[in-house]
Amino acid sequence: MLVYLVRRLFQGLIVILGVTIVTFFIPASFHANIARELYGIRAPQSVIDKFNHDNYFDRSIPVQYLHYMNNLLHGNLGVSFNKDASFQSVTSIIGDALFNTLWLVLASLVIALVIAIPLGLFQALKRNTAFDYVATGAVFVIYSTPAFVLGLVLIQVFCIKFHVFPYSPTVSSRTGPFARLIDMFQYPRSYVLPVAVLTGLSVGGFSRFMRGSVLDTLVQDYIRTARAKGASSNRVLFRHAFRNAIIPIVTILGLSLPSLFGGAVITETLFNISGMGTVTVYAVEGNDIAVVMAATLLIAVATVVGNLISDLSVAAIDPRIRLMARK
Amino acid sequence: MTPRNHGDAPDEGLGEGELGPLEVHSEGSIVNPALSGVMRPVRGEFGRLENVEGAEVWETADPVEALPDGFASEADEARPYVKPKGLTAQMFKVFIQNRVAVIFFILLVAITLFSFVGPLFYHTNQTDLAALQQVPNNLPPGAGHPLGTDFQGFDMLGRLMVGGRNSLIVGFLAAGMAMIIGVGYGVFSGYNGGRIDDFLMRILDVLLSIPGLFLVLAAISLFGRNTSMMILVIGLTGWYGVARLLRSEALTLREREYAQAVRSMGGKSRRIIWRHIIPNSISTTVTLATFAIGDSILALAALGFLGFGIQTPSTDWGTILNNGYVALQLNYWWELWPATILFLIVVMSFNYIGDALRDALEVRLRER
Repeated sequence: MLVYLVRRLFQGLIVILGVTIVTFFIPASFHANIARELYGIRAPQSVIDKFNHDNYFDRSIPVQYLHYMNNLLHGNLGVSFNKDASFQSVTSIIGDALFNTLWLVLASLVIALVIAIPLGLFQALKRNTAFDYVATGAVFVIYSTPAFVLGLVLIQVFCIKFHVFPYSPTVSSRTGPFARLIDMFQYPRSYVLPVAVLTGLSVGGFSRFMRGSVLDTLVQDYIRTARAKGASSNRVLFRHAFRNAIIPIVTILGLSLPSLFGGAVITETLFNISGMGTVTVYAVEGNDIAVVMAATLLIAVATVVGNLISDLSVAAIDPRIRLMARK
Repeated sequence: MTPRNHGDAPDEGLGEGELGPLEVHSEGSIVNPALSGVMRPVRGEFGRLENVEGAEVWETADPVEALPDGFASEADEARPYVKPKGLTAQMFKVFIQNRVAVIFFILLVAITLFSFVGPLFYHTNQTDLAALQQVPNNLPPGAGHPLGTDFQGFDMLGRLMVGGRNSLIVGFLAAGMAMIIGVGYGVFSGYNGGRIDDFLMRILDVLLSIPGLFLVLAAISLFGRNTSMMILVIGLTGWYGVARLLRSEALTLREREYAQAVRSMGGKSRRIIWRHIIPNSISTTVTLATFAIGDSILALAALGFLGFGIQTPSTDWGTILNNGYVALQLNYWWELWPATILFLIVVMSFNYIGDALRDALEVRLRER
């Protein structure tokens, strides 16, 4: 397990390093005139030069990259390129947004799993019955409905028509990384719609996968062996089939993170929640590539960490992975 | 025949004017690579040797896949030689059995016609903002405007056509780009294997961990809302999955007997890739392309919904949805729901048709 852990950590670090190269080079290739844009045409050259010098823009690309990495390791994401933001640091612009988005995504993931795992399991057990067909059809519709269409429908039905749920989530005056998580528990009703939209994005894929995975497991030899030795059908189902069927789901969890974060951008815009999505959209409107790249980097790091956790969980559940890594 | 190293000699195909593999086959000892892969001689749907209904007698053989004369005439003497049903024909047969997929396909064709041919019959002003001053905004459906007008006075029905045309064009072009990059990258990586494969797959890991939407947004903040730029960036962020799947296809296909046969006869890598690996993964590619078009249309709509779509006076479905979202609070339903329904049908069509194609492909494999 330790060998696997170290190797997997190392791989994750390499990927994050690769991501920093992407997020460094995209702005670095185009920011030749950023000082001019910030200070305006009439600014004296000395001011421009000073800005470029302070931000290492007059140095060679490798030095700039090292400077960028050094800043990152000190938790400094650089300076905003937005004229109106008056040289705020990117870190302060993003603030708690990453955590707000994380809580939203995590809440939707938990709910999606709670729905999808039993649903997929029952669909597989009652395969090719009316229940299975109806569930498959419903899941397909949800699966292929884009986040914003689902959001529009939910808002139309539950906010405008019936006033069941408020349109925008209630936000307390709390600050700090856990503020929105506490809000979610304090005002659960106001977070139903945004979480539902994100849940809808992933629940279809998960339950489809779960159904297929259980079906694959049920025909395995060890299931027949378990039945033959006289294990009760509940024991066969939960001890033998379920444990094996759940493994691919854990892998899929990690892989679904990028699309979930993409969906979070839409959801946050739709429901006006402050998070990585709204921060990014606002930065794009202000042509603030520094903030966009910082957001991209943070989301990518979150994705890599999520993948790492899911891979390690798979290794914890499945001894075959651990043994393979030792070879 | 002089043995050749991989990729050393200039590419001219295998043994033109020399003793190529096709001639070798007529001696009956070596399996024709073209036969063992795409085609099987006279094998019916149920694996029996029989004349399959709908199969045509082998007369107009494809010049590329043509058998040497000697072989064909030998077979003719034994029994009437029939061409097996092609891959497309088999897939088509399974596909049309899927009623829902056929319905979605018809809907998709109808919406495409609506978007491209519709404006020829239904003339509306979709470009001149100044002339729209005369038209009342947010007009409910009625005479003259079957679906009302939007917040700028554009006729909604005509707007849907313009938006549909742009969404479909961007979707197709971006998906085409994603497919070319993805297939090229995946096949190259999988065929070469080893260190090259490792390196290319690590790069893919990096790209996969960055949500595409963020990269597209970054491009917009750098270059502005430029339509050709959007096609480029949506294409550039849409090929990762394609590359992964094609890579694993290439990894298995390159070890197949027919690929080995080409290699053992001194055939170049390019020939194996173009004649065997790509044709044999064509069904995966077609399925993936269907999904890719849907995904590209979705990506553009997401941009439009965030307010970064194609700029006025032109438009796309995402932008219409974005504007309609504002109108929703005012109960101007005609500005949102018709566009939503059209868009949803198109996205679901590509999803469902892709699914059906994949099923058709699996059935084909089972029948073999």
